Amino acid sequence: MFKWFKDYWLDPEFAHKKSFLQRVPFFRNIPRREYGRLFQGLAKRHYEAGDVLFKEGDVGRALFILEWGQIAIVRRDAAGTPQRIAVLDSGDYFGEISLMDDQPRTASAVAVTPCRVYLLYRTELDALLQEAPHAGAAIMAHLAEVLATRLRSTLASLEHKPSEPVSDPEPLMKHIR
Amino acid sequence: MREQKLLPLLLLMSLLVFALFKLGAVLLPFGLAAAIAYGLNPLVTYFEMRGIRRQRAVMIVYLALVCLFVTLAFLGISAAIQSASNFGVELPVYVRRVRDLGVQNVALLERWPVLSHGNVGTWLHQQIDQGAHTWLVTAMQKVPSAVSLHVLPLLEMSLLVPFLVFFFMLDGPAFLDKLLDFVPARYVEMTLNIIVEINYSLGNYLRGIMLQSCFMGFFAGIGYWLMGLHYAVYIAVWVSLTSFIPYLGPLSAAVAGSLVALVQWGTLGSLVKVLMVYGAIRMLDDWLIQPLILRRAVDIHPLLLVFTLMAGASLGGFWGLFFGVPIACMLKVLIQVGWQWYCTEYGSRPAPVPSELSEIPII
Repeated sequence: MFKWFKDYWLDPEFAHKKSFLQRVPFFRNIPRREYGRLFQGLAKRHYEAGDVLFKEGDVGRALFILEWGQIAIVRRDAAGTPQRIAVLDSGDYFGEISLMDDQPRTASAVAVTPCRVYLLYRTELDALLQEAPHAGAAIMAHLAEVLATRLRSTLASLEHKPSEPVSDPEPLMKHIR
Repeated sequence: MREQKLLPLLLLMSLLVFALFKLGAVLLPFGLAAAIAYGLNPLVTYFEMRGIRRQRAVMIVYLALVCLFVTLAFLGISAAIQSASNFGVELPVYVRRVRDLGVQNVALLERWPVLSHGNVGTWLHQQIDQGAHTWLVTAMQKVPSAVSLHVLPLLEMSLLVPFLVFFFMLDGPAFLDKLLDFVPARYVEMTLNIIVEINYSLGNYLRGIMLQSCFMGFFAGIGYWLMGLHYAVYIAVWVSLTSFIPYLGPLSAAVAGSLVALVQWGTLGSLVKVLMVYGAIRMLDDWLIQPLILRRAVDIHPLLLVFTLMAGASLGGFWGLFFGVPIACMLKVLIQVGWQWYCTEYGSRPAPVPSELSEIPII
């Protein structure tokens, strides 16, 4: 009787979505009661193999979370030849910088296999921050963590490169003084 | 190349506008039902957020609303029958009162030296008598044609719209998903962005205006009922309905209340009292409800708003006034996002200017 009642009223997709999103680092720290609100803010899309999700230079508007399938991230090198820089799998996410600003994408995304993704838009994140502040804050905290990690790794890679001599040291000295 | 890409889009938009003009009357119940379903969607998502299936959530909300409307309709019809019989009895009193008010004001006018010469007073008396009689006869003659012209289509719509609302509530998001399947993969992100932006601004506007409509109707009803104004409930319904139309709505609501007060009590003091009650409700609305509506809705300049209302009235009459502002909200978002897309697509977007923050060293 209880099982019939549960099957009749409860959405199996809801439980499936919840268990998937709990595994995504972006949404791991969201309070359980706010997952429902988060789902309302996520758009779900299906892409076929070979579909271009976005191209390098397009204005970024959403964070993509890959539920299943594979997506390749491609960037053109100095000669203009497309280079595959990463292949993403289930649970991976990309395009998170577009939640911060609306600048052009730095790489293209192409579906390698049929895949399903969730999209989170900046407008929805703003609404989430107001209506479910704990969920919004958890996403922002993770975003800050990702950006800080990348910044530190960029700085570390720059330290290994030979530095060029500064022709005019005055502007730099202004900062040091 | 640029023209080649824009041409199909422009053709599609022209076809849509043409279809809207040609099928305006047919599309009206669909538009109205879609707007109602859209306004009710937060109630459905309330249940969805708790893991309830959409079909069951729609069923709960729809049944609750049907019960509410059947109760209200039952109460409204029985009250309307009662009021109609009262109105029939009181009509001669009202007519006499309006006539007396006119006569009193003519007497006041006659005190003016310029108007006291000649037969201005007598002429005005005749005009009032004849005018009231002619108006009453014409109004009575118009009743059957008004019933067939306005009341019957309204009844037809009141049966059709709830039926359509149910299907819009049930399959609205799925239908949108189906439509998105036709969008090329690369433009899905942008199309969804347009939908999210429109949903954000239009949704807030519609829900806000619905809240305002309920607020205005409720408090106007209470205020007028406490004053002892006849037909307070009907005026409250009118206040509530006209709240959807900026500027013109509040004006017509104030005029309706004032006219009834004038006819009922026949004094200018009563008219002032009714206007004061209405003014107080408007002030409360400005302080409490308007900030909620304007908090996240699309900001439209008052001049553009007036133009929208005039254009809406000219193109679609009453319903043009009703849907004018929401359509303007949608168009504004479409233009904003479309312009952004055009700039990126054709490379005319300015390069990001480094802000002062980028000058601060990273520690």
